[in-house]
Amino acid sequence: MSISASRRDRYRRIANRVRAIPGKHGLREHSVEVVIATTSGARTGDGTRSENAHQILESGYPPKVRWLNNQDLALGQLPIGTVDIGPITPIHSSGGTAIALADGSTLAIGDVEIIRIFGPQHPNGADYRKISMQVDHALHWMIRAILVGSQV
Amino acid sequence: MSLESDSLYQRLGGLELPVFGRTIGQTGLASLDPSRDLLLDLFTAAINSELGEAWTTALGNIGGQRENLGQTPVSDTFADEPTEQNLRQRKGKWPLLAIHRAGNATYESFTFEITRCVQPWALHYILGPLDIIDARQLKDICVAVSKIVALVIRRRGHASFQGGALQFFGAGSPDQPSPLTSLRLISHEGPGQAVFGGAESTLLFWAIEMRLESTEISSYVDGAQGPDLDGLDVTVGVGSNEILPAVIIAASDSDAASG
Repeated sequence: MSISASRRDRYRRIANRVRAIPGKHGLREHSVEVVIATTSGARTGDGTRSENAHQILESGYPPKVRWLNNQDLALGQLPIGTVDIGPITPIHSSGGTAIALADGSTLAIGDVEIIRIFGPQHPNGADYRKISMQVDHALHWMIRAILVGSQV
Repeated sequence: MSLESDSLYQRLGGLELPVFGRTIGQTGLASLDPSRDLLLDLFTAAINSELGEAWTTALGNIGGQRENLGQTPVSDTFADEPTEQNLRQRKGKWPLLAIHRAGNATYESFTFEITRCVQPWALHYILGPLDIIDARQLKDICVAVSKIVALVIRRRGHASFQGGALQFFGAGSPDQPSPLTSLRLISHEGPGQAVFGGAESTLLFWAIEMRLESTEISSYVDGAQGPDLDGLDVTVGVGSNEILPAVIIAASDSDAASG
């Protein structure tokens, strides 16, 4: 590992630990899963549905989840219920979360990606659809999603 | 009361009543509209058959692999409206062929006994995002696809699909009529850079949209609870003073047989 890569790795490890602190103290009440939904039939939606869920965690604790306020929604021309998930620490030598978990690159053709959030806002969970990802920062990445399905 | 005794025992297009839970298969309630999947499979087979070799050659010209660009002219299908919301939620591959019932369908009394539904459809052929060099090499497939669809409809089928069996005529029996009574390609728009559904981002796709129109008519199925016409005589004349008495005389089969 080059010196610059080594330093980046160290910064990510520090960021990862710091981002877990609110969760350790019980202040991250919403948990987030990236769900890959597939169906057994020839077309998307045909046949038996199966799901493979991966939790997004910061050193074992949920990431920050924030529903955008009215100003954010108005400026971004976004629908009510738009949520930002993160910052999420990218992969480093002792942990982190791979961007590929949510960028769709691991999906097979016809698979559907769902962001599922559980917590006070959605006690039984609710499905969201990713509308964008922010991956241009070395120390974090983020997901922006909007409510898409019924509450699960 | 059971569905067996309550149902209308009629069909309209691909919908045949009664619909029993045991007849709903893997596709769930999508099986209530078999025409959509049939058309999608037919057009996919025809396009891949007619343009498959040309597509392979064109891919070779542009230097092989492009992200998400498939090895056949139709590499993915989608039996729904290809809005950006849908396309972003589902992992897809280009080119993609998608079909859905679009716009306002109208219902009318085709005859005293037959209801007719006239239904617009939208058929999208989406190449996906291309740079200007790839667009030059690939884009003209869009109009070719539209022309193939027109010819396939004219031919009522294609040799690459179900052994060339004629479509849109059902099984040739009154008991198994076609879901569609007629189908025609009305127009196409494109190829061009289309933003689907007026969605939230500015992601652009090269695509062509074809507008189809189908008609579906109603008929009875075995067990229908319509008026019993067995043994019925009908005599139609003109004028109260029998200017033209008994212009039309009709008798149902049972009456004729018994008479």
